Amino acid sequence: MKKIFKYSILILSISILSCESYLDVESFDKVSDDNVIFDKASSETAVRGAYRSLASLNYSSGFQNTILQSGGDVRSLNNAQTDLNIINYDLRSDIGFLSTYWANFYNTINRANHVIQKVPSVNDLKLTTELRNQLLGEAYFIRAFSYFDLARVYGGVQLFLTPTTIAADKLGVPRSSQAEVYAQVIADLNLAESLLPSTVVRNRATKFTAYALKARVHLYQNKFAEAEIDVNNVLANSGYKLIKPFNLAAGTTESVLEFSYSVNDINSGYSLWNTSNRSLEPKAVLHNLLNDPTVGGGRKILSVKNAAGQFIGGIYPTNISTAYAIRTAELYLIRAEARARKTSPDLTGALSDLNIVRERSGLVNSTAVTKEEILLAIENERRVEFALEPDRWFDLVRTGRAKTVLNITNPDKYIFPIPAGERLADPSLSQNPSY
Amino acid sequence: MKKILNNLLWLGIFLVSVGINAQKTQPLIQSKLDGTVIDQITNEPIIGASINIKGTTHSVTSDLDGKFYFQTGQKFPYTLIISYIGYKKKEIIVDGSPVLVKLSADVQELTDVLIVGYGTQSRKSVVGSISKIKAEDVKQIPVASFDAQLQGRAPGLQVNTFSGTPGESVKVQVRGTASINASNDPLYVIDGMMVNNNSLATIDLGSKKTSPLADINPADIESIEVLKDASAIAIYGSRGANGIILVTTKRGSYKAEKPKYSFQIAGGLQYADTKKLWDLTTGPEHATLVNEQWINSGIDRPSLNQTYANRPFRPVNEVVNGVAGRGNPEDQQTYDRMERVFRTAELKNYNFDVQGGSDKIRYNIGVGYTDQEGILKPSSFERASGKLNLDIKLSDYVTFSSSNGVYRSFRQQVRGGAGQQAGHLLAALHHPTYLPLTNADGTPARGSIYENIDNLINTNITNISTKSIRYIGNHFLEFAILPNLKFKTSLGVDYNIYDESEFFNDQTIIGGSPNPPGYKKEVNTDYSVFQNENILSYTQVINPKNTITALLGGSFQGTNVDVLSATGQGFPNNSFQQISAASVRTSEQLKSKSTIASFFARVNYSYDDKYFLEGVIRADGSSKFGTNNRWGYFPAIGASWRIKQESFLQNVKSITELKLRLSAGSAGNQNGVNDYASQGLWLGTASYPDNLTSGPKPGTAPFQLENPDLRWEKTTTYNAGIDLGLFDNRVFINLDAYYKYTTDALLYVPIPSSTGYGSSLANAGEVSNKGIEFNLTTTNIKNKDFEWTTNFNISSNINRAEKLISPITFEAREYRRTEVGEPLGSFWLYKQLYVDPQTGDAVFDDVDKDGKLTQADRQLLGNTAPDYFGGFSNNFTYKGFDLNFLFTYQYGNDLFNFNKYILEGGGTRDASRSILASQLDRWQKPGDITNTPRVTSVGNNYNIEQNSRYLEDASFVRLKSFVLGYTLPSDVTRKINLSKVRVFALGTNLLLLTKYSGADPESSGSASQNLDGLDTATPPQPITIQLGVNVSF
Repeated sequence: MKKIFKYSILILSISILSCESYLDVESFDKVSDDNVIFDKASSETAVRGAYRSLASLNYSSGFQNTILQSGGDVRSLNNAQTDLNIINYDLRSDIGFLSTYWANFYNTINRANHVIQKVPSVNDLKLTTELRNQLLGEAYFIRAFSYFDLARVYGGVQLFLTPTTIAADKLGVPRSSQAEVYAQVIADLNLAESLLPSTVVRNRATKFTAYALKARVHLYQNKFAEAEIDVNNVLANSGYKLIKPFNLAAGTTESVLEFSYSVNDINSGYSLWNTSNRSLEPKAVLHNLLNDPTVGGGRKILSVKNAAGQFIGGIYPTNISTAYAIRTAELYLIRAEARARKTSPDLTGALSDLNIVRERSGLVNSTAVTKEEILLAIENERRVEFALEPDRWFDLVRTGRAKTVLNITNPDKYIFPIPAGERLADPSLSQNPSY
Repeated sequence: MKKILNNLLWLGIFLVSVGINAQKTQPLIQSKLDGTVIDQITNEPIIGASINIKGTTHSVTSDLDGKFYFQTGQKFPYTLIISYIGYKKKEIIVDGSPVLVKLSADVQELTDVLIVGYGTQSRKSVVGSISKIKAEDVKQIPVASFDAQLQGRAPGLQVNTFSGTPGESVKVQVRGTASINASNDPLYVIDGMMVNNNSLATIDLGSKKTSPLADINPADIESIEVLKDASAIAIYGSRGANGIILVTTKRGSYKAEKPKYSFQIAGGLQYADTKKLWDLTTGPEHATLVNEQWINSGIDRPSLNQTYANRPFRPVNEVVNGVAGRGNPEDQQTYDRMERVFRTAELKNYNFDVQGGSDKIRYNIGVGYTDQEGILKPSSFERASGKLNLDIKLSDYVTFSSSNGVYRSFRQQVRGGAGQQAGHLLAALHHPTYLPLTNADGTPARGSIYENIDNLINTNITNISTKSIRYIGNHFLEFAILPNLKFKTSLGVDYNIYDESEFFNDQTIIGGSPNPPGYKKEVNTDYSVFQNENILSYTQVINPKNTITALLGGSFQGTNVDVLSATGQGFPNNSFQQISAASVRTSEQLKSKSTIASFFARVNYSYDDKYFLEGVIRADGSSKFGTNNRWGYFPAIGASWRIKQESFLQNVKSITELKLRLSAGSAGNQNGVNDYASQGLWLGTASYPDNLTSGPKPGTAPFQLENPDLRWEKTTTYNAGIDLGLFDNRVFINLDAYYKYTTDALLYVPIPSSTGYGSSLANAGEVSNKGIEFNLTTTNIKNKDFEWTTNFNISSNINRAEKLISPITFEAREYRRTEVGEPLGSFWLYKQLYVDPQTGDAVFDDVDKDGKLTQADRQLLGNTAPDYFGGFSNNFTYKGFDLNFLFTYQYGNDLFNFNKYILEGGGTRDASRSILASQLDRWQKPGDITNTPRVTSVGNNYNIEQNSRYLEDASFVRLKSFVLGYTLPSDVTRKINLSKVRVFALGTNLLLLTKYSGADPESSGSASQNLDGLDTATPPQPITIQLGVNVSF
């Protein structure tokens, strides 16, 4: 009996001794924060993670859905209350999608910031200078892309250029103005341009992709001469050409930057247009424009009327269809607008660029003559060219035409409210006017 | 040693008898009497009962077979007084031999044994707040899991069933909500094994969860104890902060007797109360409302270009912009989808049990089978179970005990709540009634964004099912080292293989074009908990008045979960349903592990059956927390004073018991926190190609911020209680008051998403709960043939967030919010004050008076926690008949009628959703007084998601169960060689009184903590009618 007692005491004491190691449990499939970017392979995987975020989070279905609806040509089949808020330009700061893509953009930025901070100090002979520069350049590009979208949706936002290590890092930083954010975007793109290789890779950033995005940003900044030069830099490469007939397939010369998806990382935009359970449809007015042989031409494939008389949007035929972020057609239309609006307008050049895009869809040349006519023709061309891409809303806001076209009387509504949840987490964050 | 103890006991009884007998002189023998004392319910002999002839000192004691014998000078008839601890004292007049005495258990069970953590205590010595529920009372309620049967049965225990689908999870809370993000579920301990009660469901069930407790057959359960205050729960330390539900299953007895067999067969029907189901508009009404909204919106905002001319429901031949009209409102048909999805469902329940033993061994074997259809086609729940409890005295010093349960449950499932694709009630209830069920060519039509209902109720087309195979066992070896020192070591296992499967054929949304044809997903979850506990316990009777018991132990628990899932899309045709046949195949794995190590000690001291003291401490280490704060220490003390034992109350006959209980202490919580919560982590699931031809290559991304300071959430509880028995305990009152204060509450602190992270888990809150629990049991009438007892319990809990870094909101639409000074998870809404009778516009409370409706105008306007809740039951027995009914109630709880929010959208949702008939009460012309504003898509009338108009009072009174039974007279049953035959009829939910306008005031679309309280597309709890028979022999 004493033996039993001894054994029981022994069992108890052994258990006490061994229990610290008993409580050390490591995760099976996640790596610890300390050791994530330390060699060539881990640097590459971190950059891919940032691209995944760009493709799946930044370009989420929510982002496309709300921006498309705001543009006025696409309507929701869900008819949810938030859809009414969007189409009435009556957003409130506590609407869910606002914080969803706010968080998405910043998630991508944090991924890029990790690369920007850590890759320069990686000590691995296999990480060549070219590769190191390429990875850094890609991270700068991804950060620029995300900040640009943030600024055109929400106006001025907080600028964070280092990765988050503790939550308190990012508290209390004042918002930069929209112009300052655009300036940071240009600064990042200049760095990217200097670091990236002059190759043509369509689903990742290269020197040409950086030029292309710069062209877009310069247009938003009304820096037309710069925008024209940027476009020239891209189109000088024969790898970027319009294809005929109009088609949004993957890997064509139309593609300046496209996002890739796979069965494991599906294109969430598919759920918007999936014919068996779509949540968006082109409005009749857009359908009619696209199907008008003198307006839509080859772009009629973007809206098809089915047997039941419904308008089916034709952009992502499958859930792994590629999504275009920047297209060659956009570059022509950017240059057209830049030429028309620069200090000494080049209306002929503008018309020529516009007509290149029209010609591709089988349309006759534009009849526009004056600068105003040309600008309106460009606006209308963009409307059908990017009918199902989240472009028109930003276009009308950028040019100030939203007031006339969309009947928005209060220009404060051109930018969305800062998400209420963000202001809860960081009370120093100010709200946009009229929200 | 046990033998010696037994002998001592008998010697004691003998001495007492001799002592009593010694006083009498040799009597004249006038009569001889043979008798047997048995338990009224179980018919088992009662050993050691004392039988006294009234008016004399002549007493005898019943023997091992419950038999006794008198030779006395008294002549028949005379009165016998029979008493035995734990039973009601009984007087009977005897007029001849033999006599059979049936004793019924004492209602108050004062001397009852209560199961406490790692041991048992007699009720009189308990210092903590513990409610005992006898399984006999509740287990006939036909729900799959035993926790759902407990509503209204114990004060302080709030139980809500979110849905009428069998086998779904149930919300159980002991004394309010203490945690914000950590789990609020109590700890479930079955025969000493801490079992998993977190759903293993991974497939999309529309925000619903399955209940792992539904695996367990309620028929195996003997009793359930609810441990509520600090002194009762502290021995479970880290695990007990939200209360503990201790389940004890049936065991045999060490008596050499023939095995006892019992059968129960029951069957019945269940159906939804059609009067309470939703009332939808007809096709013409729907069309009228949509047109009205269309035209009103056009007036409000001309740029919409919505006029009478282009209204949606106009003659078919009026083509506008290339779109034909849908026909005039009066031309619309009405299609009823609800009748296609609801059904009168069958349920069957069979249980067989055999119990027996010898002096060295005792056993209980139970086999059960339950088959229960849900009222929503095609849901069902089926369970087969086997139970073996065995105790063997290996020697005088060593006892081996083993509890084993093997369960297989099968669920045919539906996507019950939210979620657009394949949601059952979304497809039925939310589908516009004017849209036809089939296309012109006869194929199932899908007019709105939802699946066709006929595709969902046919398991050849849509098939979602789960099979759970589970073993719960706990095995003990107990060594009696010294007569008063015992060592017990145990090994417990909770092992669950959980197989989920979903299939959608090529005519569904999910499996149909343009997706690859057919969709199949299989998930295999392998979940195991291993638990080893080693306990040394010591009892010392210092002298007759002073007793001390002590316990020292260690506990180790490891939990492993491994989830493997595979998905296939693109099948050659619908006959191929194996994933290997699919053209696109993907798979995922999730593996996780956590461990807990604990040490604990408890000391009890009692003096003269009058004063009781208890001290407990437990230390727990958890692998989930950072190395800086891995260990938590949780002490508690308690005391009770049986005032009745004091001399000044001895002579107060009306008071039979008066006891005061006090306790204070703390307990911890880490449940619901993910396994690696304190570590900074990166994920590997972020692949991206290097170029167009490379295909996806591996990628990494930050996932979680490090938090090495993460530590235990701690709840300190103070409890004061009184137990009062009056008039021979015919009136018995328990009153408890408590105050619980939670510090270091684990919560996801909202951090700016500009950090790249949505939230971070931190110990950042404080929460208080205070409440009163009252329980009254009375024996109203008691005579030879008729007995009527009543139980009434009521509990009230006040919950408040005391400290937070910032308010926290929950749910994508932020319907619920926790603010300092307010109850956790209150509804955060825009308050609609009224509808302006002149304009028909909804007028909202403009809190900040800025003339605009902004987020600053949202207010906390109620919450899901009731102000009061409880139960009221009555039990009548008359000869062989028994009648029992239980009302349960809640008062002051709110529910957001999400169905109404969606379906009373003023016609703005047009063809995407149906419209409730209540929408017809809309404002139409100046002077109309209504709460339902003018229908328009412009302005705030229907554009506010978080409108208080949809928040409703969900107080209710429910006739939870009604049982009528008849036990055949024993002389009849004995003739057919049976010991007992009882037939019964049982009804549940026969009556529901509530102001709530939805189908069921307990419904919730989501079963997740902080996300419940929104009633979305959920079937109500059904009315059930059941007939059954119990036979024992």
